[in-house]
Amino acid sequence: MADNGQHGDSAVLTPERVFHDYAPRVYNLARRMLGNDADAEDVTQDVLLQVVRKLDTFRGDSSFPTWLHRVTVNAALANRKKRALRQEREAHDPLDHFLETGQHSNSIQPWSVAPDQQALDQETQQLIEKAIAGLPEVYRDVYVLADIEALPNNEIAELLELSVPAVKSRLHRARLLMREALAPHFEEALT
Amino acid sequence: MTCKQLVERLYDFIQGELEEELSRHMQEHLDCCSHCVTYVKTYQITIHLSRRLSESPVPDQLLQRLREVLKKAENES
Ligand SMILES: [Zn+2]
Repeated sequence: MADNGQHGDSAVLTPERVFHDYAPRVYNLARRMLGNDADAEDVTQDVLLQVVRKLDTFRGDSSFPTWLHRVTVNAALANRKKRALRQEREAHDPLDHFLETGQHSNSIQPWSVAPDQQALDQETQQLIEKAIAGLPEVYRDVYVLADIEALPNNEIAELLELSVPAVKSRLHRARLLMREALAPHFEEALT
Repeated sequence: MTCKQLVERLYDFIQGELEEELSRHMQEHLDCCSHCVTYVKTYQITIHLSRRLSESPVPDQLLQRLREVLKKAENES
């Protein structure tokens, strides 16, 4: 969550401003981590309440966005635990798709999507959201924080109580799984 | 270097965190393996696409609920 560069100005954080500036970020982070709209709504409400109660602590404080990230991630993890929805879905290993000789076991097709395409169209957007929701939670958390929220690895490690090498390794697996989930769509679009 | 070994080290390769010698081996493999070239490209596209994901709007009924909850919290304080 970038802070829009607004923390330096004289405007103090009011509940109304938190509401406008941060509710969408909290909601989207929670939704992507939880893969579930209803849970994301509960988490958003929970987080915004915590924010409003502690607002005095953050008058003009640039640490607010970092703190908000932490509160949101913790609330999402707690929500998940509470609902005991943890899927015991075993992640297949994307590194299994190789022959014994170490070559790709299937042919790798180019994608039709332009990497510098400006705004994502609705269909691509939904496709990616769906792929994220399909990631096993251990990978999804890291992926959302790293490749969507653009947090540095050391912050992610701290938030999720992991080592930095563990973050890197999970992020790599997550990217491989995401690539794999998206591949059929973008290969298909070629023909 | 095999395709699998290349994919295993792709994260570090892309971050530029690979030792020089290993990085050279990767480059040599890429010079003669079109599958891996495509693989690396699509891995990078995956990252770029995710970075450009836009936020979904907060649903109206949640906005309304939040307004009520926040108003109540403000009155309490
Ligand atoms: Zn190869």
